[in-house]
Amino acid sequence: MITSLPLPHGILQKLLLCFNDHLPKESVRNLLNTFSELFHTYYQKLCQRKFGLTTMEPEDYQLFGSLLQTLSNLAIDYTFFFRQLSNYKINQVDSLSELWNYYEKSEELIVWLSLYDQRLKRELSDDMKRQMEMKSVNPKYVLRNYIAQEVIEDVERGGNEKLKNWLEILYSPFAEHLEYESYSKPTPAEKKNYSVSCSS
Amino acid sequence: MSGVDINFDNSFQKLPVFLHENVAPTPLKEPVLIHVTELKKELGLESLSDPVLQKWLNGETRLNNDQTIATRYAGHQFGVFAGQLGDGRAISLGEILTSDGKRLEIQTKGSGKTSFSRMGDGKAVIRSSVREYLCSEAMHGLRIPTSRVLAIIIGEDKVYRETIERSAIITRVFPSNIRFGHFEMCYYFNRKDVLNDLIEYTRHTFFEGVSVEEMLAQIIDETAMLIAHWQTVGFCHGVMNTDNMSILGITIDYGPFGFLEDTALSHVCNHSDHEGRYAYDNQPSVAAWNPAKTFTLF
Repeated sequence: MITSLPLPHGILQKLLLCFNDHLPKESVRNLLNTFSELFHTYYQKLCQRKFGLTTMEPEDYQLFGSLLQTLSNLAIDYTFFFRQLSNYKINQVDSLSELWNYYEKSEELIVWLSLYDQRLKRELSDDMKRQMEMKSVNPKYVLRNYIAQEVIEDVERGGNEKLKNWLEILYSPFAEHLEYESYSKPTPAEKKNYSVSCSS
Repeated sequence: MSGVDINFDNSFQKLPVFLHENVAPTPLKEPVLIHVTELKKELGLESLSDPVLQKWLNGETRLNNDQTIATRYAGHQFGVFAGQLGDGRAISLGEILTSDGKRLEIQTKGSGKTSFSRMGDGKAVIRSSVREYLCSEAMHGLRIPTSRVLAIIIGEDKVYRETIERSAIITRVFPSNIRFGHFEMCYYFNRKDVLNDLIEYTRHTFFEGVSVEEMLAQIIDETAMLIAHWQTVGFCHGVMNTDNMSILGITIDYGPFGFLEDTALSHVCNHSDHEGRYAYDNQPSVAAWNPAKTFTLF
């Protein structure tokens, strides 16, 4: 799905170049070649937990990848989606009721959920147990740009209450913090599309 | 300052002066310490009252055996060698050995010009400082390796960016400020002697004296782990230049970062990144040598 990558400019390669006199070229090449496998191993493990799986199947990578592509195609909020997926119950697409409050039941997503459902059944996944596990790795809150902006404006007015409150939430982003519920939802349209420059 | 003894163990400044300089911090005017984190305790700084802590972090006073240094590094920015860079507004106040044996360096950001400021004014604005402050601690909350923060001070000094903004100083805390770029500085400016010293220092101070090859293997491993974490949580760093990458596999230099909101795999959080070089789905390949092999997910 990535069609045009930039030219090879790996920053680890730049680092290892500095060790020319300390290591044979062959060792440098071997070291650099370990990155890809290491990254995939870590990524797969983290994804496995994120999706609530306890076993590993060769096709899982495709299951993860096709979801990311679907979320991207449908512009679904990343953090919100995974937190909602943590509520999924086998055989019950409607267990994602909060997700359906924000997004349509598009065919693409329903197809993916049925694959996920089958995958969960294959490992005899227990709803309750999986939900708990998933909620411990899928944060309810992340530092959305508009949240940072609210804190910045408060600090610029000389306040520190919002800073303190948000630090408390961000120190335990997996907890419910019910009074801040609205900040766990997809970013409201009028607060989207912040992009930030290097000017700081 | 009398009566206060902090357990400083400033190791980096023992390296050749090619890598650092002494510099006097520029304090903010009418400083207000608006927040201090739990790290105050971990650093063993409880004996400092908040007013004393504020004066120290604002660069108005010194503590026994502290330091005020800026370090010299180079780097590749957006793929192009950028020559000498260095801490252009960050000043290291010292390294502390904590009671459980961890080395933690305390560095203030926004403390005025150094020899490495180039065109910059050495200041930081409230906006970027609050963003770094929140995100460092957010990443910690997400259990992702990161630099941390100790305190934030705001001042009345005016700073000219796209608009006029007010200044701030945040205090960063990490085991070390060493970046890929410190090694590049020695390498590209042909200081093999200093490069050897830096490698030996790094190996012994942060990698338990393992061989050079093993140290590099660990750096690659930790970097792979870090980027896997970023991808999983939907974090875009925005500026993965070699001068913004820690050799300790921790997230540093929070600038135009962002978390994915509406998922877009090619999301670019830094609006100065016109080519999308550091787009979300490019991050793993930015780190590695052979991009074609790194993200064959789909």
